[in-house]
Amino acid sequence: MSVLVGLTVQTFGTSAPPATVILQGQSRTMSEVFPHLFSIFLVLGTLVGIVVLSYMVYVAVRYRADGETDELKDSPQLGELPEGGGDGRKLAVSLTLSAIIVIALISYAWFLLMGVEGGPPEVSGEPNSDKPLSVTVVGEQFAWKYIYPNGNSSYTLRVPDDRPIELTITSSDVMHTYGIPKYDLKTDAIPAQNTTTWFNPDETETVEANCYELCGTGHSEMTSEVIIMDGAEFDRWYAQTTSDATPTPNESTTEGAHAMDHPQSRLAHNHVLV
Amino acid sequence: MSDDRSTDESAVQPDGGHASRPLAEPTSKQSTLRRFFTRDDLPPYGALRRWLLTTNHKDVGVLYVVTALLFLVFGGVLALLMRIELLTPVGDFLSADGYNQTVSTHGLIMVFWFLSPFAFGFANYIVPLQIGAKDLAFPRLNALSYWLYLFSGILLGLSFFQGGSFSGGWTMYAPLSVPNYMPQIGSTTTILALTLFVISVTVSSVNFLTTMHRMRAPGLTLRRMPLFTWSILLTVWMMLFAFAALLAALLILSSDRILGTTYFTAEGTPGSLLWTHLFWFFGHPEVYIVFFPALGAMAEMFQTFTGRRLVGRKWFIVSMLLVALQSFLVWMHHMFLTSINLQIKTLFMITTIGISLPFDLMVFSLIYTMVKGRLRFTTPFLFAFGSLFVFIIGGITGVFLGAVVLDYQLRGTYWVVAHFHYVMVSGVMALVGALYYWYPKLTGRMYNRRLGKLSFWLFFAGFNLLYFPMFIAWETPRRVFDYPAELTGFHQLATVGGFLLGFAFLLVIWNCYRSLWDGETVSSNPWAHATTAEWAIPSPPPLENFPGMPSYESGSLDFLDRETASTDGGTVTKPTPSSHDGHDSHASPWPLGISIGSFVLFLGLSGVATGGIYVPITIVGGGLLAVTLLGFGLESFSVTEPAVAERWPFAGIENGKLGVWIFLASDIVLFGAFVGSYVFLRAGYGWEAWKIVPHNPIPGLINTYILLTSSFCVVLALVAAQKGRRWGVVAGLTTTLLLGIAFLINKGIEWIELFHHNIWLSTDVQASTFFLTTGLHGLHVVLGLVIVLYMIPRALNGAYLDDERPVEYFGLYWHFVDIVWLFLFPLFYIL
Repeated sequence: MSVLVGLTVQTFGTSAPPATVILQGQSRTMSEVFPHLFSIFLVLGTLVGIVVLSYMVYVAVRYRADGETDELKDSPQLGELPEGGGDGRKLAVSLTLSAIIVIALISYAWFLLMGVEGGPPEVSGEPNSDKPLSVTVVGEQFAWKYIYPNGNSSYTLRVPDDRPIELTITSSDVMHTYGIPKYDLKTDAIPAQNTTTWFNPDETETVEANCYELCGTGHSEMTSEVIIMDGAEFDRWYAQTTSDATPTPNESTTEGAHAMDHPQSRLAHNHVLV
Repeated sequence: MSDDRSTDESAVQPDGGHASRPLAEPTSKQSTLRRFFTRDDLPPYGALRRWLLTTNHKDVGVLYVVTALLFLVFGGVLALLMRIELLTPVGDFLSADGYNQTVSTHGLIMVFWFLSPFAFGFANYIVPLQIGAKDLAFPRLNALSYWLYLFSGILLGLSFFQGGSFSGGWTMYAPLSVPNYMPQIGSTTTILALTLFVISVTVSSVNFLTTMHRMRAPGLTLRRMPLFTWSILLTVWMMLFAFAALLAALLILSSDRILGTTYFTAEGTPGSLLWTHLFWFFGHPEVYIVFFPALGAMAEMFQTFTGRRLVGRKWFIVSMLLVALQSFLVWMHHMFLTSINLQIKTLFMITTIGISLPFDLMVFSLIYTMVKGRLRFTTPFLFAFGSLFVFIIGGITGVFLGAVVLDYQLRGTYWVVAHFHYVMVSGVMALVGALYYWYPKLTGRMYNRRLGKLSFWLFFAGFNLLYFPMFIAWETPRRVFDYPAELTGFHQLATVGGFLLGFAFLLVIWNCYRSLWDGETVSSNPWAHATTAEWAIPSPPPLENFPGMPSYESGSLDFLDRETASTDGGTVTKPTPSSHDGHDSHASPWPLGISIGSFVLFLGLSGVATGGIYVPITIVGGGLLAVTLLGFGLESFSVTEPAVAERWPFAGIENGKLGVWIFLASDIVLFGAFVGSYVFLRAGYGWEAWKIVPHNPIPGLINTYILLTSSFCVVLALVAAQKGRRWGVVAGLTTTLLLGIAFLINKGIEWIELFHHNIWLSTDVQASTFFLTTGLHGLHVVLGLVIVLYMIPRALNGAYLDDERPVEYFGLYWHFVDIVWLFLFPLFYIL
């Protein structure tokens, strides 16, 4: 169990924003909420686990048969009708205690959920933030296609670092799950359904998006790059894509420059359409 | 509590390995095959014939346990293949598709073909002993369940040789599972194998529920049942309903694959969500279905080896009952990342917390039972103790997943993999404990104690080394072989743990195998402080279990002389004077035959759409199934119901009728799931925009009247049978048959007319739902008519004049089929 504690402190203890930060404001991104909540669960869960398991082992050692006094008073007899062994009160107290811990934890988690579900700041009514960029993500065997508001599409997601990003996720074939682990973001890509999520990129870097639902032969390799660019640089790039983009309703074709990006070309064998 | 072994059968060892006696071969000049399958007295354990023909619950239990262990090895080898692949963070051992097949079939085999059947091996053997029954209510159906299970597993194995097995995960998410994306015949075979397995489970559920509700020893009220039996009772109730939903899902999926319906792929309908709803409505209760028997076995072992009665026994039972009920209200917590709205997510988060609390109580109850006890750390108790230990870790890590926000991020990662293995394999650990616990009872010999303890420590170490690193490496996405390189070390540890765990399993199996010969022989109750009835009879128990009629009416277990037993107003059947008078049958070749027929039929169906060799295979299978079913129906197989028994709440009806009722209850869920699917798709599509398929409701209306009239005719036949009027019975049944045929002809005309308008199963989703749902109903009608066709000649011979119950049972079924139509007609023709 000490491994768990160590893990908590190392991985999450430092990176998690303090609770005061979390409790301010209505809207929060998953990358604020998740590490915070995860570390709380991990610490409490580890504690409860250690207490319960230690008690269990202690009892096991304490009441171990020693081979001297073999019979208990009033031990169960063969063929008797079953009855309970008393101690109902102790049971009730333990249950109440565990219920309080679980319900408190889950309620707190639910309260934080409201912040995530509220969407980006602008949507939830805070004026002083930039207009979010909305991108549609389409899962297809075995790549992620990103469609920008101007109709331009690409297999690499480029986003600015100075405004919230709203993603609308769907699928053109089977079920996938879209996730960017760096931003603790994940949601299902379901054919004929839309799901939404959002995040707040904060530094220019390139991170990876994965597929988290088994979707066929290429599932393991269904990743894509997410390039977070300087805001101004992004605007220049975006303006340039606007000029030559021709929105194509047909999902299998895309703008020429990115056609070869499609990871399907990497896979030797692929799904067969009958 | 006599140790007398009164019958020949009980004097030999039940392990199938030795002590065989010369076969009493029939001397007639029948063909060898026929002689082989001729039912005379049950052959001894050493003979292969015994194991092919037996319907005895203890034999079937042993068959289940042994077969489940074989599937454990199968699923385990697949798991180790995965672990070898995961030694490195890149794909270098299995092909991408091979890895997906390995992942998928590992999950399917472990959940379906290993865990539940392993538990039901013990349920088969122990439950009748614990409740004081001679056998299950329908011994032949029990054997049928087993053989269907075995052959469904063989069918699954065959799928690997049909261009590749199923590769879409054990959750079989649509539309990945339809031929567009997964065209291999082997995938269809896997789905059909699972369908066959579900049929086996349904037969078994009906059997167990009837047995447990109707055949308990006098004085053994429901509240007084041992905890293992309680856990099985609740498991089976959950199975009855949950597996019916899975059956609906599998039938629809099979139809999409074989007949070309478009439930899961149609434009403008939420087909893939439909699958997730159907699957998880089954899938979450399934978690408790596989875990409850382990929990019940743990409770038994804790009581026996602590020497104390379970703390809060009543609340333990109440907790299980609450979990069983609530298990049907939590399925959407598997869908927090889908497009369901926040209110529903919140609701399902609450029900999920609600279902976790009874488990807290059960865990505390087990722990407090140890306090002030005298704990004997025998091998079974070590396994039970270890199981509780890891289950607590599994439970705590599960709370993480109940918090929606954490689930958003943990879903689809190794956190989930680690969590559910901590829970599921904790169940396996408890069941391995159960294997050691009941081993002396099953075989009459003790396992090797030193090897037993060694196997536990290897098991426990291997388990934690395998699954704990997965928590640390939780950021690995599930079902990928291509994971972040910095997590390699943890995955390599897990692989080492996997091999250790595999070795521990082999040690357990080896110990059980060797001890059949080497183990010291044991008395009837090798564990002091065991209280349940199976320990009051010899190890192994004689063929019909008890030296007299078991009764708890005096406040503890007695074996009464059967003649002097008092009746308490239950159904009185002629009491059987003693256990070996040959009144009860114990062998039948037909369960095996039916299963072979079903196996061949399903194998044929897997590729029937492609034509070729599969068409003749289908025809042969269908023929075989028809012949064997007829043989089953014509065989005289006598089973006596106990003269007196605890039967609450079903004291007023006999076993056969209760069996029919229970079957119909599951059929209601099946049709409910079909109708629910239709409503779900139609609502998603737009209720008003959906076009009604039949152009004209009049044929449907006429069919409604036809069916109602035919129900009336069955009632007339029953009345005639009660009054002993042979021709009345024949006339009633014949009119029913003719009306049923009229129904089918009318439907046929309607379908042909639609076909001429180019509307068929695969035309669009409207047509798919119409043809498949009314087709399923039509199939029920056809089945009913086959039964009537079988009954009419028997009625001519006066078969139902003394005993009209078959007419009554058929009537129940037929009325049910008619009532279903009363729902389908407005839904598909008018609204």
